[in-house]
Amino acid sequence: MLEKEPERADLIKLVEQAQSGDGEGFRLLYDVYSRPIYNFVFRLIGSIEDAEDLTQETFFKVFSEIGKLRDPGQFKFWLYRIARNEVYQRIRRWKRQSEVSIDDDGAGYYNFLSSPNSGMNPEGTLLNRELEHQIQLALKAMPVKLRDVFVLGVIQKFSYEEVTQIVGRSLLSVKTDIYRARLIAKEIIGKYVDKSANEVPRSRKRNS
Amino acid sequence: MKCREAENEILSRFDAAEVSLELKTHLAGCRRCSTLLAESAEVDTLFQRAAVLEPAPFLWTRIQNRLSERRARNGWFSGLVPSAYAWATVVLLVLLSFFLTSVENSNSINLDQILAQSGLTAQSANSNPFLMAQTEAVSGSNPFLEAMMPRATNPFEPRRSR
Repeated sequence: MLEKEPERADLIKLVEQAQSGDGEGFRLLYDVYSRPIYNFVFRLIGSIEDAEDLTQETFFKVFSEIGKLRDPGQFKFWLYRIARNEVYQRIRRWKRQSEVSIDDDGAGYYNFLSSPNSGMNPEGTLLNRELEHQIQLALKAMPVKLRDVFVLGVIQKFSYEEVTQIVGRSLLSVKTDIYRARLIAKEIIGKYVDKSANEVPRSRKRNS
Repeated sequence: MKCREAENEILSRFDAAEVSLELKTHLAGCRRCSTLLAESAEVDTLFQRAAVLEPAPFLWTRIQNRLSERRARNGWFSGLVPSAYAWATVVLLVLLSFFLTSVENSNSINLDQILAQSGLTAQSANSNPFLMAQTEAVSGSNPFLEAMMPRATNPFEPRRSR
């Protein structure tokens, strides 16, 4: 089972293998990219059920249309663009149906924390619950346009160039968005940082 | 570098390693911007500590099933079957060629028919300029001849003896 991201030459071989209709090629590409795509989609949409559904849709579309990909070296960006489009389509559909913005809707956004299928380590769950809650609150507070750039750049650690390729916006626009997203993140998570910093000495005092 | 520019660079950077030399110089003398960079890096670290979720194992099975269903529905020749756009283009081309052929047929002149109406043969029409002009006038392709020919008399016609 291959899970680490392959070198460019190996990736090209894998994509060509999949383009020739080889099921093993599909499987290997899925093994490499399903986790990052699933997490990317989850951080954008905020619900486990929708993340599963959209990840499935993304890979189904990718494997159905992989023959149309001219440059196999661009597979990763193409895959992320498809995942992002799927998320945007779902959000647009929600907006049409409920006429409520994704940023303040009740579309199962944070049921992740109480979901038994969250995929989180049970021991770490309690410890991370507060942090996860704050992270999701901060992402929720960001407009989707800022959220995708922030998730790609800060959480998934893509470079500027990679993010511009995925979101199809200029470098300046991406920089502006990451700036605005960081202000929102700092506003919400910053409180948590201060709070946890203050709490540590107190708990140490109690223990001593 | 001013604090405003430093703040822009700090909050729009993707990686702490990408800090420019100008910013480094500014940070060395600015406590406020140094704190901003430290806080911002801490916030980033917290986001990077976010749980990495594992996709459910059934996802791959579902994708595989859908791909197999699609392959079975479309069959082996699915790759060779032209798309709906290709079919629409072929139908349009056939209709267009049929239309153009019918227009051409309706405009074409049946010379034999005209000569027969005038009681002439193809040979006599070709050897007689008047008859050639008359044929063109009858065909309607030359409005001038069409207007003038009924008034003209055939100078090549043998004179009738009184």
